[in-house]
Amino acid sequence: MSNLAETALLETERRGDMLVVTASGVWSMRARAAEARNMNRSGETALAALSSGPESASSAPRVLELRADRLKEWDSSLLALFAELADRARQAGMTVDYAGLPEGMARLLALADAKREGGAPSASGQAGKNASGGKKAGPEPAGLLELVGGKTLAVPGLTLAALNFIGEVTAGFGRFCIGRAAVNSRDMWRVFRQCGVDALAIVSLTSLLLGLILAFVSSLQLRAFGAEIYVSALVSVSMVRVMGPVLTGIVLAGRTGASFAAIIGSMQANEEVDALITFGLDPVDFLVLPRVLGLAVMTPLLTIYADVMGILGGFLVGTLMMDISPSAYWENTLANMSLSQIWIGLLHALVFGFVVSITGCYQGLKAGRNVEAVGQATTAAVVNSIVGIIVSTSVITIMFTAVSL
Amino acid sequence: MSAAERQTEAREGGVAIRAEGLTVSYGPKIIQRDLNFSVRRGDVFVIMGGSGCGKSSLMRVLMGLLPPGAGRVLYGGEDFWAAASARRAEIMRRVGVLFQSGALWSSRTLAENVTLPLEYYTALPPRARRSIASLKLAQVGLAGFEDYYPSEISGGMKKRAGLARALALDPEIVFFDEPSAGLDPLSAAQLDELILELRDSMGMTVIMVTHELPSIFAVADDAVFLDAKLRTLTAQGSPRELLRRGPAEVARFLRRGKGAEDETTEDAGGDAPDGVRAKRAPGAAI
Repeated sequence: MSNLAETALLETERRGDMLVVTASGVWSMRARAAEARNMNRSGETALAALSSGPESASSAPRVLELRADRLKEWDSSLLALFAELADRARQAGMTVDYAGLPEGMARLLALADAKREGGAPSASGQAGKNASGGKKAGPEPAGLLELVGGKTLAVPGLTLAALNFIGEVTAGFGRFCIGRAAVNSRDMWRVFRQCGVDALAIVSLTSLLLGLILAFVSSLQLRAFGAEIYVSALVSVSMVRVMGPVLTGIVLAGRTGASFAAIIGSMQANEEVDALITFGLDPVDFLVLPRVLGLAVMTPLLTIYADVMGILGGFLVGTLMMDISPSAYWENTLANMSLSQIWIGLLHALVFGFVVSITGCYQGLKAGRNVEAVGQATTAAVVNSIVGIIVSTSVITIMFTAVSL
Repeated sequence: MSAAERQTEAREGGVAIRAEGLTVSYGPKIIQRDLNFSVRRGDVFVIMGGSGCGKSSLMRVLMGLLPPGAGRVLYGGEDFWAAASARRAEIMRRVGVLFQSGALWSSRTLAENVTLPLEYYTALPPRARRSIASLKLAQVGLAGFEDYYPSEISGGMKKRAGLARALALDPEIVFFDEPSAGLDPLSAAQLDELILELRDSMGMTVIMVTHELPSIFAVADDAVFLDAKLRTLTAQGSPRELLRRGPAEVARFLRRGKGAEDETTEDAGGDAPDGVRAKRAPGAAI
């Protein structure tokens, strides 16, 4: 019996030109699943009764009366349903009567009504509602063609912006050379340390392992010709000429480029970059130049170290596992190494230094003014740097192959 | 409004910043258009208006961070945005800015934040720079906090440290972006007092964006109201004047939306600020 009284119930009744909706029982958001389903079902019945269609205009109800006679408990679950009923009724041109409701409930409903009227300019009426609803949902998801087209159309603008930035950095470098750029020297020292001592451990590990891998993989092929001794040449030349710089560049893109973007991006979000500008300090001179110059110096140095570690890795595999005598390995390495290989490797490194630092700083400076944008800038910096490294490697390789170096 | 404008016109010699036909926009999106007003030297000038009406964007245009869509910003008669970038940087050096969040350089201590501009624009030796930093920090009530990093101090302290930094180069004009946002009422009032004190002792012009009524009544000599719907300036004058004779919309803003029948209570509350203004008669600071 008591159980029956606690069941959430919504009764709909026609009384002349009035539609009376009476709620009873317990309406609670914390209801169990079965009761929640029951609440939902009775709510839908009431909504359906309200908009039950094919009555003629004369016989349609003109007043909706909401009542709560035997209601035991209520919260927003019932309130939301009543609000929805009232809204639906008003759209159908009916008037809504809250007189039969407890005072608190009537006031809350009236508050929601008032806010709805005073809120968004287009919130009244069905048409307006559709319009604002459409806006909230955002533009319709673009089709494949539109997506590709949009991205393609954006390319010239993005390229121009990036070129513009490179131009600004170049101009800043000019000012630096004649001693007229306000450069944050402290940042430069920080870059020296970050890309020097602090990066040695990770560069040691990765390039030593890369040397090992190169030696193993090349030995598989060379063994077939009995030319295992050439493992030394293969490892050393490929390390010095391409793999050392590329590996260093990728490590720096992940470590340093990302941190450039994160630091400058969060400075942008915190208005710190604006503060620099208001003091007449150019962010390109002050923030970007020290990082670009720092990496331009450090990447070649770090690359030389990576080359040495890579050659050491190949040496370990060759002497310990392939029984090449250390002196023979060393001889063969020197015989195939030339100064031009080293210069080409260092040119790669210098280019990667510029690619990583300029990409990182650019992404940081163009980050939006919120925390999410900092994360996006960091991701973009790493991805674009690595793509830039691979692309510039192939360009340089093709260039030098063309002049047969 | 035209009367107020004629008034300012008469005192043209004492104009710190003038906006002529200024349009504030982000690309094709116009935030405010056709803004004409002057800021008298030595005044505390408040830009007010509802949320989202473009107050802060207008200030970004005035302080050289956002190019205007149209119109001119005149610093002492010189067209700021038409000047070469080196000249603009020079003008900006006479200007200090307190950003909403303080915008302290987070990798530097408070003292280093203040000394950084001195390092680049003065020939002072490090010791002298440091002593200026200590002085500025003491002026804003942060003596002894020289070697703290911005992350180690509270929000209110960050604002005061930001003020110390804004004052580093003894600016003629100082911008404040919602100085009391995020502060408790007492700290906000203290900051207002500090602003007035510094204005009086250093004779600087203060331009402030705020929608805090207590602040507006406490500090403003002159104010403009930006209307969010009309997207332009609808009134200029002192807050007291605007409360009495300003357009209905502005008076409503200044009364927190209460009707005109509340005038008497507003008056009682407004008397003190009026007294403050009387004490700081026009030009007293110059």
